[in-house]
Amino acid sequence: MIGIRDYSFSLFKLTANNICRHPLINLISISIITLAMLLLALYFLVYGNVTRIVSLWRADLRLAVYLEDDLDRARLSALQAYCLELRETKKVVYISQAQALENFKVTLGDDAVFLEGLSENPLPSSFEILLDEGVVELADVERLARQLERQVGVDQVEYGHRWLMHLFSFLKMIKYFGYVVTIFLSAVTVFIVASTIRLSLYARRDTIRVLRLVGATSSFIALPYFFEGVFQGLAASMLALSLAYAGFRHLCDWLRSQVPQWAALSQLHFFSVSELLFFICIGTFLGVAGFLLSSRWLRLES
Amino acid sequence: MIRVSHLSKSYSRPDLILKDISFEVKEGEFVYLSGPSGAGKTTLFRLLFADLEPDSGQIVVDGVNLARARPSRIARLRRRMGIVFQDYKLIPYRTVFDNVALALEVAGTPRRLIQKKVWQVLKIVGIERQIERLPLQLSGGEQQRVAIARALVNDPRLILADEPTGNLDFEISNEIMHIFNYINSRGATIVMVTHNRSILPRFKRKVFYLDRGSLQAYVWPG
Repeated sequence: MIGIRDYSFSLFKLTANNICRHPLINLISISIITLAMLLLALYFLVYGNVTRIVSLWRADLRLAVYLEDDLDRARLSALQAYCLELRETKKVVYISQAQALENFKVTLGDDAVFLEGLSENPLPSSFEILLDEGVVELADVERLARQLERQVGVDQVEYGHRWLMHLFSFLKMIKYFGYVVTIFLSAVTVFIVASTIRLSLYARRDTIRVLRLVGATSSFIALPYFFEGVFQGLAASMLALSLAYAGFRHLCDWLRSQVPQWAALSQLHFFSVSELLFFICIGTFLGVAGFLLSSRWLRLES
Repeated sequence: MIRVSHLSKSYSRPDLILKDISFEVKEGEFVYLSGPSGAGKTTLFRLLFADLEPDSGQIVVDGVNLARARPSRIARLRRRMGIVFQDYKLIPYRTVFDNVALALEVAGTPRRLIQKKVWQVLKIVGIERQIERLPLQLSGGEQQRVAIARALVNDPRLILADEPTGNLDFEISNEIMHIFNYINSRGATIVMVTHNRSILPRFKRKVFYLDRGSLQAYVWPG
């Protein structure tokens, strides 16, 4: 009669035995995986925080569509309707010449007195187009600007081209860099776990033979190594998160002391609980992937 | 208990180790598998618990056709048999108790029962005082008793033993043989591989004699 509790106890005993009999191999393995997971955690932290700060700036992303002078009301309405229908548009605000001058005065503050000498209002009327959050590619913004410039009654379109270009290319670069780093570090982690388990399998090949001879099933033999992979992935990801948290707190404290007025400081956050759990799951999954890679070897050994 | 029909095995060599062998071992029998060195005794022994696959032929052990059985069925069959080796195959870092208990652990036997059964079987082979020792702290004869205890602890219906007295002196060999006789008297079927011709006349049983790949059966002295 197979008792699940006793079966589990035996599996636990074998797993603990595997780990305890090769402490150095496991320690080295966990250290290297921790380093790989720490680099991953740091990348996700930087990427998450930069994206959060950039998304705040992004909320101000708008196109200024300057209009020709003396547009009739019908053309103005038609242009506004056209702007509103565009997929990339979130909101369109009409700014008349008078409103533009008022805004300019507010911007100038005390220096606005210089404007009082003007005989006529030199500022054009315009539409201010607030872009949809889905617009993240510079090419989309450029295409939209060209499209608007071609419209009758539009004089010029401005969108802070250089600033946008840097922002988008930086975000794109950090994203692709992240893909490469994630793939590379994941592959390293899987390879390390697989190598450790293979070493362990090699060192215990006589024990595995005895287990087979006394009637152990393949799952009974393989499961301790599966749990060893899970243990390595789990321990390393938790250790990496602890180190990342300590480093993050230290950095935040340092930034507060150096640049206390920096507005973005309040936007710096560590991982949320769900992100922490996700990261631990990734670590565990990589451990399991390492086991699966080495289990091919286990089958060959049988 | 064991039925072997037209069995052949070659190890990828042109000359066959085993050529078209057929024999049967009935339930409760105690038989020797003997022959000169290199005759294929150990190969036949390993075929009987599916440690090797035959080139052709059929082996049925305790109702299980080894060629058709899935690995999990083979594992369950091995729990119903006890296997003893000349080199004992004990795990050096596990105590005597743990080595014997292993055969019960893989079957998911409750821990309370494991304690009781291991103690009982160690008493049968006369090594209960060494229960906490490691194998390398024991003599060859004692290690073989531990290996026999591990083979017995599941109350197997069949015991396969490969040269269990091969490394032991005359006196210890006699003691080991008495243990096997006792086990057989309790109903277990035993197939013992031996090339030790001094054992055969002392403990007369049916002998399967293997030579140049063929098998002959007789009862000593023939």
